[in-house]
Amino acid sequence: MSATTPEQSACDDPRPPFWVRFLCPRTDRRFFLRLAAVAAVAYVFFGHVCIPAVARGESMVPTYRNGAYLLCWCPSYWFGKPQRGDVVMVRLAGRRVMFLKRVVALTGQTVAFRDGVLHVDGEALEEPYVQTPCNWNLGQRDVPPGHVYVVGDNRGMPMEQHHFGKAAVRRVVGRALW
Amino acid sequence: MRGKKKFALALVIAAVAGFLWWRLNPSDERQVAKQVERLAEVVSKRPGETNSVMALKMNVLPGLFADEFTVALVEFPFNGDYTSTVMTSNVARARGALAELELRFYDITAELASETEATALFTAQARVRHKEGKPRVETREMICGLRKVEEKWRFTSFKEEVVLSR
Repeated sequence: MSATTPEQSACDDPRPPFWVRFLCPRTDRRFFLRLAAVAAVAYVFFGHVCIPAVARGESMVPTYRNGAYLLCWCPSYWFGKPQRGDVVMVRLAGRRVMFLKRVVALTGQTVAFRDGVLHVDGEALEEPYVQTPCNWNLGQRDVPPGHVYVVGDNRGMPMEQHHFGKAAVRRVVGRALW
Repeated sequence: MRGKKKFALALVIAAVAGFLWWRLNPSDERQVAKQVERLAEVVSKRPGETNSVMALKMNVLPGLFADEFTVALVEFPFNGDYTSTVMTSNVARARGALAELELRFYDITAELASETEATALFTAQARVRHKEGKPRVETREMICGLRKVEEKWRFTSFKEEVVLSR
């Protein structure tokens, strides 16, 4: 009966060190299986669970500047609905280009802009994330069932150039992580 | 071992043959998607575009539209029904007024309604810059109608799907 110490085992091990095996792995069947598994997990995670994105445009300034990197966390709305104040991504024909907006009103509520102040259900809404002077005026709108009302944080731009309004909840893909 | 190698080789040959067949015999859906991409390419105008490139593109453009073409976009001053000739001259005029027009279509989904009718749904993004002014980016969801005429898919309509409605 014999016994070996861990030090002896390490000395006897003919395999190259871990970092060499990690950087230059042997391309055997197990390697390709591992590679396929990693690719599949990455595809599902980054394609359907946590979608990386780049903000383009000025409509969410100052929260998200042009060129800012963010992640869209989809599980937020798998079992729940968007809440007021959430920054969400709204899909168009697919997920390659999406709108990045903030939810300001939910189904059944009314929305209006009076002299740049957002009114929800007739009451002025305090919006600490809006840091630009605004002069928008928009008559009262109802948010129909299955919809939320979304607006960007940059109210300093002309209203005509700003995409906002009622969005179907089914189009809301996820919540911006940061 | 030799049997295994032969089997692997046969698999690779079959995969290459399948890929070539798929590339050389595109389905109608793929042809529709290609036509949508072609429209974006032809309408786009790079800064400093030469007259010869413009002439070449304007020569291709009428062949992309059917005899009757409908435009129905939100807050767009040129909505209406046009012939392919009028549509081509409208596009030429619009391109002439701009210094740059970069049109890109994303997430194209083509569906066949019949052997000669199809629709294509996609996200259109236009980056427009006037001769004097800052560039502006417009993003909209579009649905196009296409009809197969003389074995070629041609656009019959260009409509907007409203995503955010005020």
